[in-house]
Amino acid sequence: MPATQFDRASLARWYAREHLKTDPGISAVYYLPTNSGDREIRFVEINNLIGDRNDDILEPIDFGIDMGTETEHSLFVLDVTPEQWDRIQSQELILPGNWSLKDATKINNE
Amino acid sequence: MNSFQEVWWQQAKSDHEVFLLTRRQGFAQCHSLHYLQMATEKIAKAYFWRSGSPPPQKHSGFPTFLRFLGQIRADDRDRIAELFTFKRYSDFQNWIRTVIPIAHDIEHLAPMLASDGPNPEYPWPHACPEFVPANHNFSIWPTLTSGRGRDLMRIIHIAGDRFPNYADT
Repeated sequence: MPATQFDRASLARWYAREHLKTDPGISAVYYLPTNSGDREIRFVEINNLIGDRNDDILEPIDFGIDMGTETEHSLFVLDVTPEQWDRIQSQELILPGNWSLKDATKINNE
Repeated sequence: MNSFQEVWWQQAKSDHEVFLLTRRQGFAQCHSLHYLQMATEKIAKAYFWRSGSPPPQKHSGFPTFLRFLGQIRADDRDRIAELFTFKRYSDFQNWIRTVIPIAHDIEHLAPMLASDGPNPEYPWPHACPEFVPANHNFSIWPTLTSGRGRDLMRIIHIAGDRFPNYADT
């Protein structure tokens, strides 16, 4: 982890690029800052390697990182198929809790 | 579900809850991995107790459990696919094939199977302890936290939550 001071947006970019670099199934990472806590990073990752699903309940997987330190934060990753992502954008499929696409940023591997 | 399955299932669910807690709280990898290994071992044991007889020590672990789910009788296939959130049973079978290597790695975290190497419980090597589990970066961690690994974590969660719906299958 390169951060010595907590900078959520730059840390999000760092995580996203790491994920894009190391996971061949991920075609895009979206960072969703709206409604998230100050120490919370939310991603939607579009993944071509997870099978088509019939479940309309989306479950982010969360990790606690650097807990008990100045850079303590949580990383939430919601993996979706390309088809699910299309349905999310057309609001056929609802994001969990208070997750929102408002101000969502697509992070590229650059 | 018989009474033997019930007790193994309850312990599996409890282990899984601790796994979620340790992952969310950012504890050392060894603690999350330990409880994940325990939860998966026990959900497999719960499943294999469906005959009412003790399952064999070998060939009743988590990878075998996944393989069994991938080979169930035709009449149950649509129901099982739906239960595990897959559109088609063939999708579920294909998915199982892709995650079996991760399942093996989880199973081999158990100290008895870790070949005197990295395990989440005891310093190693046994005869000359040098490495501390709590300070170790486990090779399985990057895989487990990748997209495919996270997907496996979701299915493990479902396997515990929905166990009564397939315990006899």
